[in-house]
Amino acid sequence: METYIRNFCIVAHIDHGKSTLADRLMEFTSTVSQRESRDQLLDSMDLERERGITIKLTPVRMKYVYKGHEYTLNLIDTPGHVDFTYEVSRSLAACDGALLVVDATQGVEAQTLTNVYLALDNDLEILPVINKIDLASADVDRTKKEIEDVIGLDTEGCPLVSAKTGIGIEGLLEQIIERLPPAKCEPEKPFKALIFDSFYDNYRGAISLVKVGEGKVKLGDKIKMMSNGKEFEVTEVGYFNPKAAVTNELVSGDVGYIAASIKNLKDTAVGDTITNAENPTTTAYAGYKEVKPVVFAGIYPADGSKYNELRDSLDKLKLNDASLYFEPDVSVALGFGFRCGFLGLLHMDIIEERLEREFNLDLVTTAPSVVFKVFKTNGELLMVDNPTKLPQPTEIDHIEEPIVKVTVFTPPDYVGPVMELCQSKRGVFTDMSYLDPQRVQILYVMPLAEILYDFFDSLKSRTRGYASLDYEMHGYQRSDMVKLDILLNGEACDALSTIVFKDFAYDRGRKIAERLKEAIPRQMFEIPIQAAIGTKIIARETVKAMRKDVLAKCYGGDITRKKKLLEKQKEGKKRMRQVGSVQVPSEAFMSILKVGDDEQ
Amino acid sequence: MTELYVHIPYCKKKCDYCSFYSIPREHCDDDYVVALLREANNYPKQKINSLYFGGGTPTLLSNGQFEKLLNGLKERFDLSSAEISSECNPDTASREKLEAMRSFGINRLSIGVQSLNDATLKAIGRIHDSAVAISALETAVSIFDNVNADYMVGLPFQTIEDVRRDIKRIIQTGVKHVSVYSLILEEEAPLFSKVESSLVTLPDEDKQVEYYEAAREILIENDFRRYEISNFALPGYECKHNSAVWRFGSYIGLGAAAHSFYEGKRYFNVSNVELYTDYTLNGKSLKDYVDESEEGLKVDFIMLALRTARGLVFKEYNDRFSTDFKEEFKEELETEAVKRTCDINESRIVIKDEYFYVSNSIIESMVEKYL
Repeated sequence: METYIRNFCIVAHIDHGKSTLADRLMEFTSTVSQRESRDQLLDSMDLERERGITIKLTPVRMKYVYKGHEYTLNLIDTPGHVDFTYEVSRSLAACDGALLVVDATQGVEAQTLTNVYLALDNDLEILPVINKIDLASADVDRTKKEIEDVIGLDTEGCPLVSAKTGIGIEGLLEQIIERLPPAKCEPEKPFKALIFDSFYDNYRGAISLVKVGEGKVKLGDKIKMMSNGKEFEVTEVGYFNPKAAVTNELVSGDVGYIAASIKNLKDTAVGDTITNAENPTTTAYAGYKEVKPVVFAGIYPADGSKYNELRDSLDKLKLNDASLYFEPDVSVALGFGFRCGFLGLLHMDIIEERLEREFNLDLVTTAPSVVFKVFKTNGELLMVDNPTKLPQPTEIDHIEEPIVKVTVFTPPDYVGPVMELCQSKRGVFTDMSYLDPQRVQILYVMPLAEILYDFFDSLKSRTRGYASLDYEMHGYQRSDMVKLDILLNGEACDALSTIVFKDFAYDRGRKIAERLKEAIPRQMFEIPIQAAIGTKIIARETVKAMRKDVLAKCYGGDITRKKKLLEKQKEGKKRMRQVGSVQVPSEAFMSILKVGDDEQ
Repeated sequence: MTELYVHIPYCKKKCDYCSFYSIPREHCDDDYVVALLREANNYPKQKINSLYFGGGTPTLLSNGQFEKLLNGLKERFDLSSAEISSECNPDTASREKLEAMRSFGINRLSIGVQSLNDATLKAIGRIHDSAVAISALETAVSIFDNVNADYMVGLPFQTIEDVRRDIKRIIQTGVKHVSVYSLILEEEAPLFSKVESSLVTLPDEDKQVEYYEAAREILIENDFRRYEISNFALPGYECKHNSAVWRFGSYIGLGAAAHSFYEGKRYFNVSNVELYTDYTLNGKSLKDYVDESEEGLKVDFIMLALRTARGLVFKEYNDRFSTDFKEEFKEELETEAVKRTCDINESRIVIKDEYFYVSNSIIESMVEKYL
């Protein structure tokens, strides 16, 4: 049965105007009045709005009357960044069509492609939308040509819009109805819905965001999770407009949410299928691959006594971010904290920022690491995501590191510098193609570890910000890796160890030592900073001894002043970590990462 | 025994590096002198080990005021064997003035030389030049046996040659005591903002230490001994007043903004000459005090004792606080920071001479648990 429902998402490269377009669609369908409209309605986290990115999924239901019929348009917003590809793929599964937004001033970018491929994988009908046509630098013809040449989509009659000014939005709504396939509606079948996201609400428990494929669900229904057979009674169903709105039932073709007093978020696993407990469906949806973290780092409270607070905060974040992984960890230098796994650097950045901002925590974060496969001489295979867990060299037969397929889009002027950068990062050239006179696509395979190490910033600075980057996991390769230790005043500091490519170790050791020299303030005695592989010292710097603190008079009237000075000094020490006999500022632990190859 | 301090918070012009309380005047008010004596009435007559006139500029007191003040204090306290010092600005040190001061009973003079480089003096807002400073020192030495010169390192335009030449020249005048300290700028000082905005540049940390070392070497060569972080004296000429303060002795401070340490409490008089005078003359007082905790007092004791070459004598600490220093600070005494930088023997702990420069850090790590 054909319906008047369209389930679709918007995919785009970061900054191409996805969230603004979503806002405008809601405004034109009177889902929100212009008065309520604040920029980027769907990005509800402060962080999302500030950074102009979308992290979590938000489905919103809109109504639009076309040719005498009222249509329901379910828009599922998706994150644009590569780290959140898995979130995109989840929401795509709930859609029948996708709007591909391309910025007319930028053309096709690296992440545009990734998202298109994902949409194609999910058999979605793709409607290209060219945005920002109001800008003087917009080049609609070139953008159309790129879409046709690079992606292979027909741009005949595709909507030309300005999400900012509202130009072309009516036409876009009509095309969504005309060109995107209607949701299938099979309301007579047993209830069957796909969970594409879930979050925790303090009052209603774990809430599932679902697309109802078959049948219907209403208040009081007994539902069953097909992965574990657990049964719950539905306490509320509804949809978002974009605020949560309670409704009587969700029917085949609908996108909405289900609350069922579910205490544990694990019982609303993303990708699971929900069915009716009394009249179940026979087969579940294929579900999703479980996402695995690829980047690991230690997170410690700057103030050691805040360990429990950090744990509680991570627990809370985990409720809404199943991809976040953490386990308790102890560092000699940093004390009690957590080893955390992330989907990528941006994900790591966001988690850190949320911990600091939403939970008011002061953190010390260690340099991120990838997951190495360590093949031991005794035949064992170890997955190592923490340099301190690397076995002794004598026990290691060989090590494999994760590699990624990197796609860079750049103007032709910067092809040289981009390739140079990729080569310097152990990249292996795969392909290069001129998309048009202004755009080159360069493909490389390179170790993920090199991407973590200042790649993005270097790429941006070498191309004056013009290049765009995307990468996807591409398996493992055998590499000659060594553990690089940092010794402060002769003692190894575990939190500063890294696993690096052997040929880069000397250079990196030197740079880390130099950087630490800048980051560690002078202390009462000279502090040697050494970089070492095993017992071999490969670089050395020295923090000179502090020469003087205060050499003032101290008469009777100065005693309280002097004491204040001591108190101030103690306060300053709080930002420091005691590593052996050395005071190390919290920031120093991240400084390893910030050692840029392009540094002047 | 008790020390007595009298604060004269008047200056012809405030120096650009100064953040202490003073008001700009050519002369000291008569009623302020009366108020000082009135405040002294609050204390029982007792033997005074030292009396110190500090400022501000005590030499802005007229001869008559000085005489009245000293005679008044002699009536109220036993000053018969006291060291009586006065600070003195070079531009106020006429022979006539100094002779008069000597005749009223002052027996030690401390002259704020700070530098003998005229460009430097101008840059820090001093109103005298080097010739005036030398002449003040020479005049003072001809009248007083015990004269101190204050000298600063880390000043604008200062070079190591300046320091060497200045210190030698100062010693040549025959002073028996030299205080050398480095410029510490607090936010309130006019020079602070000039340095912040790079209008004035100061020698860096390494240079300051080099300069200080240069000054120290010359002083030691000339038989001066460093008996406290920033104080050098010929044997027997150590300043009794400050030594007592560093030994945790009690002192009575008279005058606006003066501090006292009396019967275990620290008192602070109001930092306002008019208010101080008004209240005191009306038989009231405007002072605040900190009733310090035992731990706070311990911090003071340690902080002061470790500034001296004599160090902290365990027995004195143990007697004062009924405790055992070595037990109480067992952990701290074991740390690298303390072991490397201090000499510790059976009876005392002393910061090594070469680590005096970082004494704050050492003291902080010592008393951290009580801060």
